[in-house]
Amino acid sequence: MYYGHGLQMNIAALCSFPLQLHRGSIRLEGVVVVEMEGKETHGRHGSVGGASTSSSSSSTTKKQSKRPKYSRFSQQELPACKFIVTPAVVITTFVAIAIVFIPLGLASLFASDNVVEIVHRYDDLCLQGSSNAVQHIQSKNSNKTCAGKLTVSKEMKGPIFIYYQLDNFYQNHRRYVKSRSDKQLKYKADADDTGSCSPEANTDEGPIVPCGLVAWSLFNDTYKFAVQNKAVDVSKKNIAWESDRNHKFGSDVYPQNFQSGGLIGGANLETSKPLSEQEDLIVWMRTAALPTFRKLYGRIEGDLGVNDNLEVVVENNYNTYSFGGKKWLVLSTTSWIGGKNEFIGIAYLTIGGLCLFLAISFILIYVLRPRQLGDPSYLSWNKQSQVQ
Amino acid sequence: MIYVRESHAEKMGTITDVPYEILNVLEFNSTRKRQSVVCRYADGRLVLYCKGADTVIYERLAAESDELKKITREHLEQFGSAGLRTLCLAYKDLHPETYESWNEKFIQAKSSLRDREKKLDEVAELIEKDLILIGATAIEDKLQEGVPTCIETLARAGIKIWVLTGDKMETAINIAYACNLINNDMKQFIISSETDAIREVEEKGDQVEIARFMKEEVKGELKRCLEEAQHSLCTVSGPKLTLVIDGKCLMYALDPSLRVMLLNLSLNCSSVVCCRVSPLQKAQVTSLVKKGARKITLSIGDGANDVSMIQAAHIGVGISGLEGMQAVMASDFAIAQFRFLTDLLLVHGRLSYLRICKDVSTALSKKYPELYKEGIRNMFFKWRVVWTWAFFSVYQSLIFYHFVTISGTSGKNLSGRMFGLWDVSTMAFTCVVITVNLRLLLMCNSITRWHYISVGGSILAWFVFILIYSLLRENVYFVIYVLMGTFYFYLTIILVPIVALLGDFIYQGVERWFFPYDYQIVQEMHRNDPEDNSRAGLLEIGNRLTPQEERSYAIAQLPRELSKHTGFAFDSPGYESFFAAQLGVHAPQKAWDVARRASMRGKPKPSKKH
Repeated sequence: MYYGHGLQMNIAALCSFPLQLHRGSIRLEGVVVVEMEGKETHGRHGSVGGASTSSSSSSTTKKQSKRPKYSRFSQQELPACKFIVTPAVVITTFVAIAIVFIPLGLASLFASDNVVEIVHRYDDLCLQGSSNAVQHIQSKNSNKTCAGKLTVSKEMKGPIFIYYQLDNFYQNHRRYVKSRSDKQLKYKADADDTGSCSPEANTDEGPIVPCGLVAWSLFNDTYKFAVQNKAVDVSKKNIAWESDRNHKFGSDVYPQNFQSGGLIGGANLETSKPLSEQEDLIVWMRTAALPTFRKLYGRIEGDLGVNDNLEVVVENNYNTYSFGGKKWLVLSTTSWIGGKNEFIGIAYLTIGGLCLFLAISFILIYVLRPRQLGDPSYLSWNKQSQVQ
Repeated sequence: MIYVRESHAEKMGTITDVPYEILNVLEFNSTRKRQSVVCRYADGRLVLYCKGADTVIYERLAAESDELKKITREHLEQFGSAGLRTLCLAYKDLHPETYESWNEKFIQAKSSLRDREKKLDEVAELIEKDLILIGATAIEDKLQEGVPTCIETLARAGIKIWVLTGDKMETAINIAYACNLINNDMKQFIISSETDAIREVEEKGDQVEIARFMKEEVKGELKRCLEEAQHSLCTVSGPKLTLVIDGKCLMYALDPSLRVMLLNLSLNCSSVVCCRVSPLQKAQVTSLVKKGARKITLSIGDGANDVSMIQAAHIGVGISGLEGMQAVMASDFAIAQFRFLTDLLLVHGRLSYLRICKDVSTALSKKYPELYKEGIRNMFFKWRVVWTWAFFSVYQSLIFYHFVTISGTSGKNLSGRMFGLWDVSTMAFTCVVITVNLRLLLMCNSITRWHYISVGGSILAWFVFILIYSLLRENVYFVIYVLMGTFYFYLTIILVPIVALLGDFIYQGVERWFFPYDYQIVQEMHRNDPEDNSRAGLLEIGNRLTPQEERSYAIAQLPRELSKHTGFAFDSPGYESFFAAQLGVHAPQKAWDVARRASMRGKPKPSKKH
């Protein structure tokens, strides 16, 4: 059969037997070419990939390919380092960490051990026998001077740093930290910027400079030292960070109306000295991170020999008794790592030792219970078939 | 007017062009499953030619010439088992007056505004009866390239595959053989409406009786199959199960009373073939699995008759192509060829599931389809994983806080000055930034240069930021410069991130060693592969054989016994390689075919009853 419509032929069909029409004399033999248009004729209901392939259509799709432009990034084929945490990697890492950490730990510990520190708590000693500590400290007439004796256990090479240490004093409380005005401290013109400083913001005579609770609670105990009745010089210069001195506190800003209210929180400031020279204030204003902190009081330039008896005279002015705080006086030398802090050294040594121990145990386990990398028999579907 | 070139034996093979006038075309649709044409011969004779599925044609034949009917039926069965798609042809002479009166009704129906389809069907019914059978045709309809491999790969990935087709049972079974969904190792359950018992009842003609009888039959069959299936499952190494059911039985099996049995039976089978299904039944079967079994269902189809099925499933995939774009327009995802389904599921589906970063390359995802099961089993988003992450984050936060604060209690350098709040917090935050970025690197299993850039860039960006910021704000003024002037800063930066990551590192090492995930083993297996960046690899059908397969292929080379079902017509490498050899072209072996032939080895199976 043939058709003159020019309809497209898609599929060649094979008839295995001759067609026989009852009525007729027509007998068709051979290959019958039947017009096929897929769903029209055979009513394909197949849902399994039944689209018939024909060479003509595939050639047309090749001409106008809709494939998106190839780029290694969009096809996720970038060259990559395949980092797999294999046993070799683990053991190497641990050994490397141990090799680096143990010497560092030893060095840090050594440096820390070289630092000599004298710690002397005095708030419980300096009450002059008074039973009511708060009353004693708040009264203007009581005798707040007390003397103490410190013995130097090891030779202390200068400069020797004098710190006061406080406990249970939360300088890191949010409202406390916010209660200051950095602008006011820096610029004379911003003396009125006391918005965040309440309740220590303004007086009837004008704004308080420096305003805020931080400045108001300035530490005011003093210490005097003598060795064998000879006074030791305590330098109070350069105890604050230079950046604070030069930048945060203005050299033309002078204290005004400071501690003039009814409640006195701490030390008073000399009105003739500009803020940038008030190093005690600068040190105090660098709020501490933890409730137990120490701040630099001063510096002894000379040395202290071993077994020297240091006589210290303390003016116990600061009221820590109302909130159960404690006070210490600390003398310390420094090393390249700073003050006495064994934590870094111990931490390094511990971690280094731990890594060494883990490396050894991994090596042992690897030897005793080896698992070959990439062994297909460990794949779960292979394991199941092995079990069966 | 059409012209047909005919060659008559009586006229000694001369070729003439005979004109025929086409008067009416009764178009094809899925409900009628046939199409007809009314034509007028050159000498005025009116003939109706009808072509359609064998069931519908046989229903409309005149009650004579049973001999021809029987022979044709045999031929149809032969064609069906050879895997060819069959049609029946029939004709009828028309009287001019009957034709005229019918034509009026036809024109009326064709131009009606409402229910045109239904009216046309009714009108067609009037004339398509008492037909005289001419014979049958059969065509070979090849499956699309790569379909069998794709189905086999998905089966390995743990996805169960059902075939819903409108073809006859033999054809559908052949397709399934060609796709390796069924092989001779499997136990087949066949629920068919072509049994002699049912045919007897049908011949009686009582519709009510037929319905009742069929329901009983289907119920009995389902019960029997279910019992056998459950018994077979109890034995450890029982064969896999397959269910073959046809449209008429499905109609009764989808009844609420029998639905549960059908669902249980089909869930126990590793593949299900439904033949002679109508589009509505396709949707019903999909909904049955979706709601009854609560599994995620995906439907894929390419024609308008697949639209309801595509929309009934959780995910509908349409294949764009020769059948038009209806399936594509109704679907959630459209692909161009069936074989792209492997990419869609195993690569993109799996990546979307993992969502973090590439752990196994795309080529490996397709080579090991079992890795997909990790997603099916939801191994990565269990509570255990969440708690592990939470635990390590708590551990890290403790390290950050305590290490920095404990070491910050004394002076930090030779000047003896103390750190304040902002120094300590900047120190801690720097450690956090470094640790978090390095943790990301630890999580990635293949690190490209963009990873280095983003991780290094983040840490660098933090430093740049803080170096600038600490000059601008008063509270943190100069903090970082002060910090960076101490040894303490550098010691802490080395110590804290390493300690924080140590926990994760140890956990990963131990877990990968003693309790590895499958994808980790695959990574190890291919850790030394050179970067294969050829795009061709991604869409290849994968004709390479593993050593296992080579061995089994060699075994399969022994003379194979002929099973009635070979899937020959659909995609047989024997067929292909035969012609290829003729043309001198090398046709490579196909892995799925090797497996199929290996399964056929040495097992003479009796022919299946229809």
